[in-house]
Amino acid sequence: MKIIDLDFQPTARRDLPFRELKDGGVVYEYNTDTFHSLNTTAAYIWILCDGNHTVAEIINSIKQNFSQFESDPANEVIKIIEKFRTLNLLTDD
Amino acid sequence: MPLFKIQIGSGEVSIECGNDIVNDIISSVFSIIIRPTQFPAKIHYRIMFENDRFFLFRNNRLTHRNRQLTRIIYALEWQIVQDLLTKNKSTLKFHSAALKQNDAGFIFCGAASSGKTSLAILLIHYNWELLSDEFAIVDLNQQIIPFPRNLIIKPHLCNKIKIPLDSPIFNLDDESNGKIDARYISPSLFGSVYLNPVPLKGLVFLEKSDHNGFNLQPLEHHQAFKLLTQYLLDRNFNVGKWLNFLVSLLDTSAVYRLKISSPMDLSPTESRALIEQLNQIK
Repeated sequence: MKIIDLDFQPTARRDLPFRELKDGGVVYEYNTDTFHSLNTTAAYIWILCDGNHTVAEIINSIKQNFSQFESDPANEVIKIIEKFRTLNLLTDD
Repeated sequence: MPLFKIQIGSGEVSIECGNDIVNDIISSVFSIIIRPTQFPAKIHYRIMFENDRFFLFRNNRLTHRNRQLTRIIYALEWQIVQDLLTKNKSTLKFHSAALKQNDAGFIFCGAASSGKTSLAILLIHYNWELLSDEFAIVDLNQQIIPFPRNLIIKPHLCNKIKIPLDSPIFNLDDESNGKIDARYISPSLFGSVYLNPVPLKGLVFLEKSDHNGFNLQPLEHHQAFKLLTQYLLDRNFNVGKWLNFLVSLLDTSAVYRLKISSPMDLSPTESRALIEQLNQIK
């Protein structure tokens, strides 16, 4: 399994339905009939987990679009992507 | 034998029973909407009495037999609930109370024993109109279809509200308390019941609180979505469709969380404050 570093390009599983909401989004894992609710930042990161963006690019995008982070959001972004992977929401490659 | 029908949305059942038990049936099973009819529905129930026993048939198939009529009514009512829910296809059904204030419909989702019935009784006391105390059906136009089942008054409520002392007692299975003695009371006894579809305007999630009083706060949609799925009874059409349906419900509704220990234990001032806050939801 690849390490989640700045060059890693996370890819969300395409078979999982995602719906955007006013303040975030939800991912439905039908195998376990589980819903994962995502806050605004996590939903934004989820959309960027398309296999075309590196973690560094996602962090930069968060910096540009979210004002609530006073310090560097890098750790927060990596934590969220790790959480996606732990929950088996990302593809293995 | 007398014949009655109960219709909700696209669901309809008929009931045939002897004259001697008619009053027991119509006072316990969907009392507000049960009507005499001439023709049996596609789903037809018949109650017979023979050799000291009652027999309940659904479309001529025996489903229950018992010496006690209350056990038969309990089984009949529950089967009718399932039939009416199932027959309303292309709708979402929630484990929730539903009430109307002015032209706005509100759904109050909550787990068993979270206070749905108590809250419904409180609200209709303050001139809200009941649509349902247990199941809310929402159609594709986001209208709540009334489901005015009789209110199931559990023992803890019997001491707090006035109910007819001669109403029959049903020994039923309660998710939280096991076997309990409850009464099926017509909701009209407590106030107004509304029988037409109402547009959904508000979603309120009930949460049991350890503190007295109440706390009503807006709820973030991504949290509400997950909760909403917990109270969704069945998903009778494809995943994409009901996901979109839930998203659109949240998009067009005010979404709140109500933390409350027991609606019946609110002081009159607290009750009025709660009603005022609910009335202000836009």
